[in-house]
Amino acid sequence: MISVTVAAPKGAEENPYTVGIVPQFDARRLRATWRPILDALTEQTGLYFELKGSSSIPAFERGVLAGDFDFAYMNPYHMLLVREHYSPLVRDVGKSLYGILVVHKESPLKSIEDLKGERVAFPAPNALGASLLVRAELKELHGIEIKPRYVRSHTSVYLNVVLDETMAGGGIQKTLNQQSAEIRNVLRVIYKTREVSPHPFAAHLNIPQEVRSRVQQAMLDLDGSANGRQLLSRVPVVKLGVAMLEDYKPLQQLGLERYYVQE
Amino acid sequence: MIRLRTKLLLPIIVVYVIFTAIIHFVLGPDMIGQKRLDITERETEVLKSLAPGVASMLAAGDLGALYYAIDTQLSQNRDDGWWSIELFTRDGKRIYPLRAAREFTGSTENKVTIEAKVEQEGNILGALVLTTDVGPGLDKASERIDMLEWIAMALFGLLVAVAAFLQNIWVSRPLDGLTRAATEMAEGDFYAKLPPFRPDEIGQLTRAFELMRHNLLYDTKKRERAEADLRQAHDSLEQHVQGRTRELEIANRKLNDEIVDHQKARERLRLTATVFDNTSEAIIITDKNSKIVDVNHAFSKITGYEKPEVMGKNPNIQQSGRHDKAFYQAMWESIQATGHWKGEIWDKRKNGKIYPKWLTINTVLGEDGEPANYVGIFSDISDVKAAEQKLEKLAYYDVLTGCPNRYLFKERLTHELSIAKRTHEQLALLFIDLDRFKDVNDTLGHKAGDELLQLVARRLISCVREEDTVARMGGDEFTIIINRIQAGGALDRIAQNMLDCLQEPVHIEGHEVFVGGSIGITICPDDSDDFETLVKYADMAMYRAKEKGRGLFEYFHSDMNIAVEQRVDLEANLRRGLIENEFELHYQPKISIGGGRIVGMEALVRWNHNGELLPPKDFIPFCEENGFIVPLGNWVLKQACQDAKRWIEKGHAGVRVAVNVSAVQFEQDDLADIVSSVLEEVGLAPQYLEVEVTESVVMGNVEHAGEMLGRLSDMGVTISIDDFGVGYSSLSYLKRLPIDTIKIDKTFIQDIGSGANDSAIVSAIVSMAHDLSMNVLAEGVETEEQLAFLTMKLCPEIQGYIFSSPLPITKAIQLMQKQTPA
Repeated sequence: MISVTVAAPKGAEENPYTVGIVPQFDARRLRATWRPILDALTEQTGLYFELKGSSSIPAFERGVLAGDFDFAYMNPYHMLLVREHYSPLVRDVGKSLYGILVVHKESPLKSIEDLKGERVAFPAPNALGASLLVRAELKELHGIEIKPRYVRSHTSVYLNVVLDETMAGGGIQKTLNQQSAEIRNVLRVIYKTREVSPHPFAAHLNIPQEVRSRVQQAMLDLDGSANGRQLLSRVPVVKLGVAMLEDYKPLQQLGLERYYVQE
Repeated sequence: MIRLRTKLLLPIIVVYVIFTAIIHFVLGPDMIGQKRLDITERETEVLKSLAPGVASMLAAGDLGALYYAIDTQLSQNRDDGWWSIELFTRDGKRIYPLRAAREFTGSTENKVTIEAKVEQEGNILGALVLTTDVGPGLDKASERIDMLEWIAMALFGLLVAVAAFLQNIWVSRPLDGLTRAATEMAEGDFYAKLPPFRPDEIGQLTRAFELMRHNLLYDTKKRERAEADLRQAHDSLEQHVQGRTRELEIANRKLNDEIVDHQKARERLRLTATVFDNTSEAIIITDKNSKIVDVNHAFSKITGYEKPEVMGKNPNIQQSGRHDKAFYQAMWESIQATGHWKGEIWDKRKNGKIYPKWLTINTVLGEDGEPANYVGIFSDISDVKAAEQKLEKLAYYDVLTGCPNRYLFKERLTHELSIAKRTHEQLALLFIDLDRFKDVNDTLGHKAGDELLQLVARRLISCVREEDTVARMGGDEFTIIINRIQAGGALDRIAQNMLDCLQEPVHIEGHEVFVGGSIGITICPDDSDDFETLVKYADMAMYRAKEKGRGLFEYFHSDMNIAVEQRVDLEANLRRGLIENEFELHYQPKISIGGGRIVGMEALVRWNHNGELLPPKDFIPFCEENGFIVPLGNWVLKQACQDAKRWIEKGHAGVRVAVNVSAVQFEQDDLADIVSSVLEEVGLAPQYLEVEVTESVVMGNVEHAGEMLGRLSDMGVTISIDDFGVGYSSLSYLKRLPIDTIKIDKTFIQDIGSGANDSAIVSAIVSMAHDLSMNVLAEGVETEEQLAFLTMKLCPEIQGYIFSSPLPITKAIQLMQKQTPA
């Protein structure tokens, strides 16, 4: 017996496009942020979207590597890994990501050369700005080997440096600014990595070019309207612009995947 | 004396003191010691439970979490007296807090330090040290002891109160009652209330006391009666002596009063004489026969007569002869009837000069009730009179020309109408309007305009008789009242003479100006004998004269009324149209030649009247004439802003809306305020609004235009000059104004290709605008040839049928969506 069912076309209400979001925050916050954005996209394009959750960052990585999502909001490093399957559409052009190295204010350290063989604190192995970029540049650009210590949070990094538990620590400017004056005032920044483009919103290459352009234009329009601007600011995105694969080339040149620790 | 009550209470108090001492000195310290042990034990447990978590965070280097955990624990237990926690590593390095823990400031006997090991899998990593203040905990225990003492005190207090109450009822109160009764009896009162007779020892005592009091009372009454008789005899003697003394006192007081009255009368006389001589008002006193008996100093000063010259004379020596007999007769009738008269009167000074005075005459009655004297008081009011006349001149005469103004004209005409009615004579009213006055004002300035009006007034006065009235109604309008018209075309001659006079060239500030006028004429009583109607008819006739051509006069005819009524109808229809939404806006796009994009939309009003869509030229001139343009213009401004907001929200942010502002609107001082409040109300940013003003409006009053455009431009509104090229703009003025865009009038564009001259003008305007850094737009572009020419001349923007005619709003938005990528 043969039953013939005619599948609804992709993007229709019964067969929505799947969207994966890197779970940097808890699932409830992600849904509250992204569901209204996808609804606004539907209004603009007439296409329907479904949020596909991931329980953890590794789970999301597995999903995006397997091409499970039609669209995905991923971190810049992921973009490098999946560039064969996904094409970036838009990204935040209003800010850029970079990492910093801090030492104790009274540290005798004169140049980053002195860090050779020393213990350096990082929040986690795969934190893009604070860890991956810093570790890769120390090695690739300056040939410096250090002993990384992963202390789970940015605040822990700074405290380890303040209490002389480690010689230096990797962080980002924003979290350093959030520390209390007691901590901030006894730290100094000795190194700043090059700036890289932030998270792209990318489309699977299986999606027809026409649909990709429509979604890209709709995202840009959303950024232009007052209501859409408010929705995007929760992501947070300062200003959306067109994203290119070239934007992520500097990451590739650093050979970042060698510093990525599979969890 | 120690009261019975006190004696009874003493033993109770002694028992209470012993009881409290036992609680305080024996039970209390025991309880506090126990409490201290309890607290220390409990805190040790809490600290120990914190240690394993701290150990694992320390081992992982997760100091952020470690700080958070200890901070939280510390803040939660602060109320229990937790003072500080410190974390040391095995080699004594302090990990928490960042700086040394705060120094203990509580009482040292309450300071307790507890330590807990921090270990993981048998390895000791360090130690947590807690410093706590047991003070607050111990305070709670001693509070409980205090409470016990309070309860004991309350119980004993109650016992004391009950004992005191019973003693009071049974013993103290009856004894007090007896004591009071005995004391009062000693003072003579035998009726004080006694305590009730209770069946006890005190009751028996009360009964004995009662018997004793009864016997004493009987003896006392007898003695009192004898004393009363003696006192009465003494009192009657005393009263007689007091009566005589009072009579003497009254006589004495009367004598004193009379002396004071005499003094007061003398003082009053002196004061009256002083006032009489020193007041600035003249006073004249006559006897009942009107012979002067006294005058004061002011009288001499005002009239010039010295006192001896007038004594015994009649005041009528001052009469000026300006008032008739009837006037003086009426004055005396008033004096006889009411006793006084007051009013304005013209009299003669000694030197023969006549002057006005304000006079009051009062009658002074004698003791017999008949008039004895007359007192006249007057002041010189020459100054007041002069000021009054000056005011009248200001109120009734036009300052510029010296002609009667609108008010005096009304008074005169009303007066002449009433005379004409009595005498059955004809009267003509002429209404004159100058034909080219506005041009003189606009081109040569207000000063020249004023000079012209003065000249015209002189010429008009020279054309009429002295008894006729030439009045200025305001602006360039004059009216003339001609009395007692003679038959036989006399009026025609007068009117023609006036027109001829007006057409003579005038020389003002080195210019030769030709003015001319139009005259409307109406006749009373043939047309009407009512003031308002006559003025209206003369005005209508003048308009008809203007319509027929300039320099003519026209008599009112009844069919003119009909034309006016049509105008009234049109006005009513317009007002209803605005209420019932009969107006709509169409939009004509402005295109950038380079980008082919729509850069603006000009709002053009249409009137949907009786199913017909009327273009602006069919009703706007009439609206400008009667002022309706102001509400209509405001409606257009608001609607256009709302429409612009609509398309901007659809994503066409590059397209601004242009609104035409008419001359009448532009003259309103509050135009900028209106624009600003409409923008705010609609929520449209000023950069999306463009205001178009015609060249002639700007050049008509450059000073005002500069100020108004400046205010609009400061607000952020874009300014365009419409119909450029047809007026006589001075480039030097244009340069000074905040103008963004010049719109070349379509007459120049239409002739491109046919007349070389116009093409040259267009080129010149475009290159001039480039030099002044202004934008240029060509209006009315219709053919490819025109477009090619403008493209070649680098004209940046165009507007016209070649791209699009004016469109309703929905179509206009569709066009934008098609043309510009949203």
